[in-house]
Amino acid sequence: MMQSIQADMAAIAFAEAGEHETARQIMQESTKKTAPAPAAHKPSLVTIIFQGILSLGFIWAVLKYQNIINELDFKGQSGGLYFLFPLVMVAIYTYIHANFAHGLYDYFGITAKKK
Amino acid sequence: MADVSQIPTDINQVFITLDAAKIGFLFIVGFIGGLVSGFIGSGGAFVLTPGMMSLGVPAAVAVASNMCHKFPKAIVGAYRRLKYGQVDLKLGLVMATTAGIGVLIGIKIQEFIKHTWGEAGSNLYVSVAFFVVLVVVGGYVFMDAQKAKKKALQGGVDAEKEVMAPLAQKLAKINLPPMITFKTAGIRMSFWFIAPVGFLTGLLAATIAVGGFIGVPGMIYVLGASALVSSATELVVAGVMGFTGSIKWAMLGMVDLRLTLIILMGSLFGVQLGAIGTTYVKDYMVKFVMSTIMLIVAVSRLLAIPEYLVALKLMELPADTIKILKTGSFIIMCIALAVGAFIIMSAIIKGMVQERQAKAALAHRA
Repeated sequence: MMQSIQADMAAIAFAEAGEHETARQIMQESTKKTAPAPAAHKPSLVTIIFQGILSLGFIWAVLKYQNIINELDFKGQSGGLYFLFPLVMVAIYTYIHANFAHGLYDYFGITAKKK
Repeated sequence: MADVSQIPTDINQVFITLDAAKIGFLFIVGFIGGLVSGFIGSGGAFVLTPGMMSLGVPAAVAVASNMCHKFPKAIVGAYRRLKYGQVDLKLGLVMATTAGIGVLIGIKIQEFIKHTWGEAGSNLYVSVAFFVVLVVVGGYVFMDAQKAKKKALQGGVDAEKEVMAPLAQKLAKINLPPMITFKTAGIRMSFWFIAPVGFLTGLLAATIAVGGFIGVPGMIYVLGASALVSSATELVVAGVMGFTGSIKWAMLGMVDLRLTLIILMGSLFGVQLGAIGTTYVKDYMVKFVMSTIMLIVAVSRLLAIPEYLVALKLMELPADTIKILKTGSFIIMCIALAVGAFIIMSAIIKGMVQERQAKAALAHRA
């Protein structure tokens, strides 16, 4: 912060003295970042694999226990909060699987065009 | 659309037995449907419902499970495209509100037709509505896409940027309160011009389950939004309508979670790829894909009409011919989706290759 103020003051002094090029150089130096810009967030392969296993595991569990799942789905018509069961399950699965799919595309470089 | 009177009351009639082939079919159709939805804002639903019914799923369960997969898919697609700066959330919510009224009235019309002319009358109404809307709107969008493509290839002034439709330009000048400004869409329009577009979107959604075929062209030609913003905003409308519809169907116990999740597994891959694809294509490409799908689906619906005319005793045809027409209708629907997916995938691959070549050339020069 202090360095930046000092650089600005020096640049102003040079500019007032008519040394515009030097002033410009000082300003450019002061705005140079000392640390590299943070890289775009890219999920690690471990995270993607974990999400993939979770997603497939979810489907496997639903198919393995399909009789119970079907009964719970059907109970929606008997009133109460049973109707929330498929909606909540779909919301949870969407969160897991959407992140997995997005991570997978990101990992393989299939990303949106940078403007 | 299936209605409450068609709902099975025995659990054994509701849920079918699933095998690997059925799971594979649902996954693939889900992926392609998602790809098209992510790109043009709608589609997929018109193949999924008959597709599930062809596997032996009761109509009510097919509609319910389709609806339940549609809303999270649309929300994920809308979220992705919001990040790309293509979604006008305010426009989507206003459209969704008026579309809700359209859905309710659409269901009432359906019930009235069914009560008066029976199941065949209802199916005939759906097919004729489908055909007329698809030919008229699809044809217009197709011609407009051709014009825009020509303009873009000629590289004229603002060839990349879409010019606001003439009707939208006229409507935008009419100051009829309440006037609403939509920043992302870059338009200021009276609520009274937005409401009919939303209403008709809902009405069509209740009739043929694909409201986007009115919603997207309506936003482009009546409200003046670009094709990219319209297709992205339609996902918000689909998400809101799908959520409310899913609650209704879940309360009737008709959602088959197994079917929903398998379709969702494919469609969440597809919808994100479709959304990515929109960042690589020019605006007219969305119109081109949408109109191509609409016109092919129109042929499919045309083949379905004789069956209902025969059922209403307005026409005579041998049973074998009806069966062939019915199968042909379903196959053409699948072709429509496949053609759309092929155009989208080609555009994405071409866009990505060009982008990488441009980057490589830039790096080489540096």
